[in-house]
Amino acid sequence: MTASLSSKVTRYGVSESFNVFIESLRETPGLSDKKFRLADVNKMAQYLVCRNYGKVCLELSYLTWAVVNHPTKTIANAPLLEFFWVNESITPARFRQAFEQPHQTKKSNIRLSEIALELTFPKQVFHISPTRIGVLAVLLEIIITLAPEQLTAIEQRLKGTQNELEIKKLSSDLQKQLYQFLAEHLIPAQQQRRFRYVSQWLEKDTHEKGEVNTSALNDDTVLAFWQYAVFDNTSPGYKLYASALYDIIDVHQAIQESKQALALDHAESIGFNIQSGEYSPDVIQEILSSHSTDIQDYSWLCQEPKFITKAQWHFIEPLIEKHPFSKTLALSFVRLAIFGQWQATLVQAKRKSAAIVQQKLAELPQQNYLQYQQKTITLQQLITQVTMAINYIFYNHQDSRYLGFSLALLPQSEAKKIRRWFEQKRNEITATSVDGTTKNINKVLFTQSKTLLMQSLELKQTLQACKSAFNANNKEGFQQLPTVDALETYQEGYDGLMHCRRIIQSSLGILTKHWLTSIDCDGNYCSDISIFKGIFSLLYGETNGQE
Amino acid sequence: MDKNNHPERQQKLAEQLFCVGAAYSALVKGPGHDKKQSNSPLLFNDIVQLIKGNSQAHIVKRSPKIIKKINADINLRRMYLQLIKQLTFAQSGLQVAASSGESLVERVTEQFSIKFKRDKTQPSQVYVILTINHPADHHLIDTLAVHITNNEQVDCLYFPAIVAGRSQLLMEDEDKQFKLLVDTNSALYLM
Repeated sequence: MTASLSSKVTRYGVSESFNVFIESLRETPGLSDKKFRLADVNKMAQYLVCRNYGKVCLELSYLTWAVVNHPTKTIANAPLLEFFWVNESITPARFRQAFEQPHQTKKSNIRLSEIALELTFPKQVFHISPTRIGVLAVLLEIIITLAPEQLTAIEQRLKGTQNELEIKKLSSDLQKQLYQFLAEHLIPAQQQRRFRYVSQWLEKDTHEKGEVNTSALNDDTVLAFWQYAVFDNTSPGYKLYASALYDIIDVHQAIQESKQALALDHAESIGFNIQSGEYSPDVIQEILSSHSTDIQDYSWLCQEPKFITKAQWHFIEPLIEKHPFSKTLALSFVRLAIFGQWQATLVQAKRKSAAIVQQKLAELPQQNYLQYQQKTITLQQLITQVTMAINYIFYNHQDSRYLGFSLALLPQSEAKKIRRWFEQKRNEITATSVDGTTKNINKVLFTQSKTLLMQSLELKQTLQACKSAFNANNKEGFQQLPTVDALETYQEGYDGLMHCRRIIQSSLGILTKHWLTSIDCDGNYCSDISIFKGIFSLLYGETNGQE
Repeated sequence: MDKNNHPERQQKLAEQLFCVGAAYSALVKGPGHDKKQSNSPLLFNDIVQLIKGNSQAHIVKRSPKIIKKINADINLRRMYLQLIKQLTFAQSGLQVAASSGESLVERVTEQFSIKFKRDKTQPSQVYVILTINHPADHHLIDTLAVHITNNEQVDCLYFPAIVAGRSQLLMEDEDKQFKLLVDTNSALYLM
């Protein structure tokens, strides 16, 4: 199947088919719903892009040895097929179940301890934690999809062997297979060029300004970079304001992270390999993991249940995605929303005719800064309405979490009172109750909160408003009361919405300081429009060339 | 450590982080939705699920496309054939007997049978009746798949779960799948 994966590499250094391959792993069905957990697929993607797959290949080789040599099978001669695809023993619980029976031979032993599957060989013991099974299953899916013949080949070479060298040899073969795949599908050359271009510009800029500290990136620097790069023939492609903004943010972030990592320790001890002139995949992955929560994807908020609409998500997406910069580059994100959008329209128009370009240039952007600000404020209010609808759902299911959600909606003094009540009750219940399970505490807290509800007019009014918010919400997932099983999804939705709301709020805070009056705001817009219009006219106007 | 090398190494680390970060973020975001449809590759698991008769809506919807891909690629077909043989519950390789007065061929094996009955009011429509003598648990609770192969192509039919030993489908006799089903050269595999 390798042949069917085209290796056209896109500008992010990964081929389109590699990207679709990973997407297919997220989508592929299993016994119930999707076969693989999103987190496991993403973890595997991380191993691959960091080229840090040595250990995971070894782990998989030991696991396949255990599966092939463990005696409980029902399908003749296909233990891997049965374990990973038919029975899907790829959750910790199913994994434990599959290895429940220990198995001993003269030279080896397969035994499940409390924490891991222990594989004992004459010279060493290898441990595989049940929590690793999801990631390992994703890796095997990749390997078998790329080379289906490996399925029986692995079984044949491991069946009956007690020789650990054979397992290690398999691991090295799997690594070679991945190496070859990545050689075609993960090519960072173009990204390296972009990095060098931006980092050199940043260095020169800092030097020219005579600054010592380059730790902060600001809106002026971003705009200056784009203004320079947009017409520079040697630039690796920064005609789009959006590309310039995203890359300068990412380069800046990478430089800061590398400085921090090196400040913590000397280069050698954090894995610099002098021979290859590169850092070890382990180090790279560790740093990537530490900020991967920053690049967590929130686009599910506009899927099902529809916490926000697609249009709303696209409006806030850049801010959420690059949220560590949502405050320092607040204006740059406004420019992206207004002029980035305008530029996209012009690029489209350029493909049609010069006359349409002229028309679009004369029309100006769809929104000005004041309208953007208003739209953001409205969106923030809409998000609050959705969190209120979620609050109502929890209340209706007699789940005491509604109290926690209500705190954010109440006046501070009242919220304080309720928080105190909540903590006191929770301690009382935990101390006196014989059944201290979360479920029970939740139930008792809900029952007792009814008294609180009678005492607090504010809380009562808030809940009434939440009910109205729920009734007014006709989007998917809010048309009728969801079942109790779905509450966790709504809790995640609530957390996601609050995360987005905080980011929008902090960005708005900065903009409000920046534009004290609407005259300031308009002034800023007018001066920016002359900059962007000037550049766009040169880029797309009659006399000039390509996008 | 040689201090002179420090900025260079820091730059190297930053470059690696930038490249890895861009690639990872592209993979986490996934391809655009327009691209996803056109060149989505077949995973090994997609084929296994198709064979097992996974009844989740999106794989059922995708199954004609998957079958088309399998029919167009000799390697995929070989893999598919090997898998149905490994995972089959029962199979019928031969034409057994012609039913009376009908040109449609019944399939009768020890484990299951497939019979055909024309609709009296709509003669082009045929009821395909599947009977399993000793059904397994999964036949009673879930959609069940019957895979059909001949020398040139493969296809699959999904029957509703077995009730009182049988299940049926209504098909058009001009249907490609139906023609393959009654082809005497076809082998049938019940999962």
